[in-house]
Amino acid sequence: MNIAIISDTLASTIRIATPLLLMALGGLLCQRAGVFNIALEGFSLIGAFAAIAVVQFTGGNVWIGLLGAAAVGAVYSSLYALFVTRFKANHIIASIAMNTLAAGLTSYLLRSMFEVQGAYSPDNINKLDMIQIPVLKNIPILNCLSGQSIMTYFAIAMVAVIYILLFRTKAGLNICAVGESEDAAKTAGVRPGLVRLQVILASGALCGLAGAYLSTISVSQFSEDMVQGRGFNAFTAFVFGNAHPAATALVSLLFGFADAIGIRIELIGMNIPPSIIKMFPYILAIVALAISSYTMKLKIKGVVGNKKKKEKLA
Amino acid sequence: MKNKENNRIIAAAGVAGKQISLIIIAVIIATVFLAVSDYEPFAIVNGLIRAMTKDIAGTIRWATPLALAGLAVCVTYKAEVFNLGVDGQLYMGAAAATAVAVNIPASMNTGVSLVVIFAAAMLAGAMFAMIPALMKVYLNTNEVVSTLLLNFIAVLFVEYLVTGPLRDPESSTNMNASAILRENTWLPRLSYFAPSSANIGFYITILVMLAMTFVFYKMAFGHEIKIVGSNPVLAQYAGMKPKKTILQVMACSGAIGGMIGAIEVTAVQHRLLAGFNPDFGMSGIVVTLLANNNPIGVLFSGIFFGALKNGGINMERTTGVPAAVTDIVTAIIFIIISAAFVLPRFKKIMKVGKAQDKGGK
Repeated sequence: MNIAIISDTLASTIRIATPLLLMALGGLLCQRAGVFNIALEGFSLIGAFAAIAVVQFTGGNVWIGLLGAAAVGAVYSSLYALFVTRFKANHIIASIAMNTLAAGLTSYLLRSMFEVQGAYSPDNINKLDMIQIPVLKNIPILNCLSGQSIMTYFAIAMVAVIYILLFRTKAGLNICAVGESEDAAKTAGVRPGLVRLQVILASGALCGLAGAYLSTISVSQFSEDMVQGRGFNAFTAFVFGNAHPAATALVSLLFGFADAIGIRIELIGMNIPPSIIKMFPYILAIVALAISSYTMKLKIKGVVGNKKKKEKLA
Repeated sequence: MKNKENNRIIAAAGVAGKQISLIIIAVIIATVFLAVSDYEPFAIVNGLIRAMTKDIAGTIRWATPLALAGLAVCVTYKAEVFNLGVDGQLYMGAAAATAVAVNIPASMNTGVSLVVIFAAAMLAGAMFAMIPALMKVYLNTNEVVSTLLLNFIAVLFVEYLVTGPLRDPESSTNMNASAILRENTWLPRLSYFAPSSANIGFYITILVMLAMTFVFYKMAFGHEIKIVGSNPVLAQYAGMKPKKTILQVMACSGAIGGMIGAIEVTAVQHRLLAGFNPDFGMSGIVVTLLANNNPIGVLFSGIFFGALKNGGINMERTTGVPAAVTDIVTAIIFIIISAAFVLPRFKKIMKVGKAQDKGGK
């Protein structure tokens, strides 16, 4: 394998990981605040559709499309927030309902707004230029970091922003407090409902951007069901990353790598059926989920054991 | 004793009334949707009425898989386990059914071959459900995410089968499907409902429903499931084995899922098609939620969602209103029910009812 292929694979790893990371960061915030949010899938689907719709009606401006997708994603997620915080809905059921609603709504709007079925590509999209980083693009392997879209750099920046938000600010402390113990947070004067509303809106906006990335940057069209389980993979990514922004980013990259390797294998023409190759990321996600839940189980057991030991000593 | 019976009937009627009003709300919201986007506003209502009267055959066709999916989710939900993987188990069942059916000799009796096919499908569904169940029991993995991820693997596996080993060698088109099965492996359709593909599967659904009702309300195992669901610690102290129960309910659920796959293949499609399943498993969740997790209710809510699905398809054909609007109705019912699930006032009423009951004794 020569260096060009390696850096090519790494570059596509980063491209594939970007939407995953954006979704996972949104889910991570929710997880920290004790919201079981598997509606990432639905939020992203809505975002993907909104981006294409906005691009179509603003004469091909992808920038406005991205902003529109973030806004629409946040508005859509506010419905979830309303049901979860105000009506005390079961998080899992409400999430699944949001995913179902997103699928139905986008398919319906596709028919009623653009009068097509299945997929729609706007006729006038001005794709964003990829950003070339001067020095980096000439260094062999590292040049995979150059020539990515603006959203990739935004996602990397968001990892830092969310790290600082969670661990260095009072707002982050509040988020974690609500997740760890709602009653304690209430006693300290934090309003759990409000905190949860904020994190859900943030996750909606981030997922909206992730969806917009899929529909306006990866390709230039919206097709029904285009998120294809990436939301669930993102969920696994932050669970495996222990809801830590940096670890989550690494896991997202790992998932992106599984996908990129699959594409590479297909290109080389090894005799593996494409359907089997497409399973890679999901299998990896399940393995990751199993590992993280098992270590969590051991951890809980360990804590219990230690307590008993302490009691014996005392 | 009489008093208790009456109370139970009143409570059941209350639940039914609540659910019906919920359906009406969802239909009204969707009607507003249609009116806003310049379609015929009463298309859904008309479609539903037509599906319930003239075109009941099509409704039965859709009600069969939906009610079965509802039952599959219901059995695990009683034990507080979320099986969101019915779609995957269904695909695996369909794959196993096809793999067995293509190898059955033409001379074999229809009844025997169907028993073999259904056994294979149910086994495959149950085995596929065992993956998340074992992960939950031994690794403490959240079954919600693992079952969702496994669905994608099952979809891709079927795609692999119909583009590779099971692909119809004679088909020259781009259609990804297996060869059409021999007639001795077809599950009979109901001749009364003739041109539609309503089939014997509906009777199977009723049988499964009756069996499940019997298990839940008359057998120790049903009671065990409920206790494991409501209080696993108590269950353990009472000498039950929550882990074993979870494995058992997941196996049952997977077997029912596999059965749906077998019915769809042997009675409706007569071949294995890539992506033939329009999310029956996900709809199964809302079917059982609308029925308040009562197996008998699941049959009725299955018929309602069958009518909705069928009405949507008819509506698209006659008025051009996109059938996706019925998915919106489903989603609205879904989301409202997620909140109504723990409606505090309703609980209070139930408590008052119970207190009166004690006084009566």
